[in-house]
Amino acid sequence: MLSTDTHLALHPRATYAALLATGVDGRWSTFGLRVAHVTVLNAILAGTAVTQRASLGTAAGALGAAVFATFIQLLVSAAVILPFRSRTSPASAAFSLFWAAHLPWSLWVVATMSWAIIAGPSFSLYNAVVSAVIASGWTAVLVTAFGQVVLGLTARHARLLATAHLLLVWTIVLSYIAWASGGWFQLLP
Amino acid sequence: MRGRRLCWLLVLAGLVIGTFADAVPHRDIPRAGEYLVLAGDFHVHAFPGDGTLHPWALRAEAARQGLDVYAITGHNNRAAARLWERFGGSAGGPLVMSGEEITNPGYHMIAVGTSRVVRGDSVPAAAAVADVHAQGGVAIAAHPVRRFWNAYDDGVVAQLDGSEAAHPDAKRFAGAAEAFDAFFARGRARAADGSFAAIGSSDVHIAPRLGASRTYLLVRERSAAGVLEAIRAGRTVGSDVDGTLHGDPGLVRLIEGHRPAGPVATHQFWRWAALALTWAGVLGTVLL
Repeated sequence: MLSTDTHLALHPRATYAALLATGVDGRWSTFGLRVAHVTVLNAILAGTAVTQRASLGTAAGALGAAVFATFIQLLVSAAVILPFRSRTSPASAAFSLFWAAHLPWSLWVVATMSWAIIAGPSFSLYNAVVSAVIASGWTAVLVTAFGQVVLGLTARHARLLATAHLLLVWTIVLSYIAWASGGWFQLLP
Repeated sequence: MRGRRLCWLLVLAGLVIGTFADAVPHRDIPRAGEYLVLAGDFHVHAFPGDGTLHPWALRAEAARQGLDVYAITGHNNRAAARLWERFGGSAGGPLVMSGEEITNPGYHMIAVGTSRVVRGDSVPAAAAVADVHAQGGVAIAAHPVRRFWNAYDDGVVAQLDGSEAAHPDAKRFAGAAEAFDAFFARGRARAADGSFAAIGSSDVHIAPRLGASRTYLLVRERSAAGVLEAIRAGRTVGSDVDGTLHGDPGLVRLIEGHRPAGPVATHQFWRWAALALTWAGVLGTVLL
């Protein structure tokens, strides 16, 4: 009943191993569809939350922000995958497997946007960003499993990779927030 | 896989139903004596920036929310405003004005009608107001809670064109509503000719919706120049998220009799059904 992505989020190492054993769909078109899926969902959720209506127009209204977020994630994916020649599958399959770990962030977006609709004026953007720590920690577990099983790293190196990924993501995210909110002083209590 | 396809169908059904249920209300601009009464939102965040919607989507949304004018106000940047200025849109629909939320550790200030960035992180409030005025814009104290008051000495307050007397923070933080009222009263008292604009703003990023808190303006003409003149002259009233009006008591009474129509809730059942279908479908495509 539950998708492979959900199984992966709950049992990352076993699911990655099973996916590699049964053969991964390594076509770039498959990866493109996965990227499009995440982008469109983010646009629908954000557009709906900010207008409190669901329509094709509201989804299109947030498409720019969603594409920007996807672009950043693609850069981060490339930084995680391409340097490792030890990986056990072709690059296109590795990208697909890496993006299969989207569930923590997708659930965070669903939860945050639902909260925005329900809370209305009392919604706190600051608390929303702080709550991302949960999605971030969960993703670090998935990236560690990805490093071990897909990239063929040792447990120690996989943990280092997950830490580097975490630092890279948050450096980019916080830099953007700092620029967009007027300066780094805005992020300090 | 079949479950995921079914969920995508739910999403599509929700979006299509929502599109058909999504009507833009026709509005007539009311008159109060010699003035037109406009509804505006002068504190709006867009993408690129820390807002969600791009300027064109904001304009469509402003029309749905019954706004006649809004200002794009990025924090210490004009990225979204510049995008609009460069590529713009059709002549019809709400007026779009360029601005900025000048953002300093000690104060936030809205500039409307400006054409270049005021680096708020490095200038005191007095210099920021002078720069905004030199550019032909108006300067409005943004959500003036008590921690921002030190930046505004009496000399600076006397130079301001107005303050946000209605803002969603009034509902979020204890004491904010009283601080906004007190700051507005101080502004009126310090203004040389008593003209100090009461502004209502949504400060929308993700929530609350655009125009949730808004400004009613008495303008001589429906143009950017007309809007700026009305703010400078203090012919404005702020409306908070509950619709309560703030500002000069005489103007509040006047607006109460000529308040423009707000958003019209058409096809409520279908709108909620569209939202529920879309949301359920999205969750399904994530999990199934």
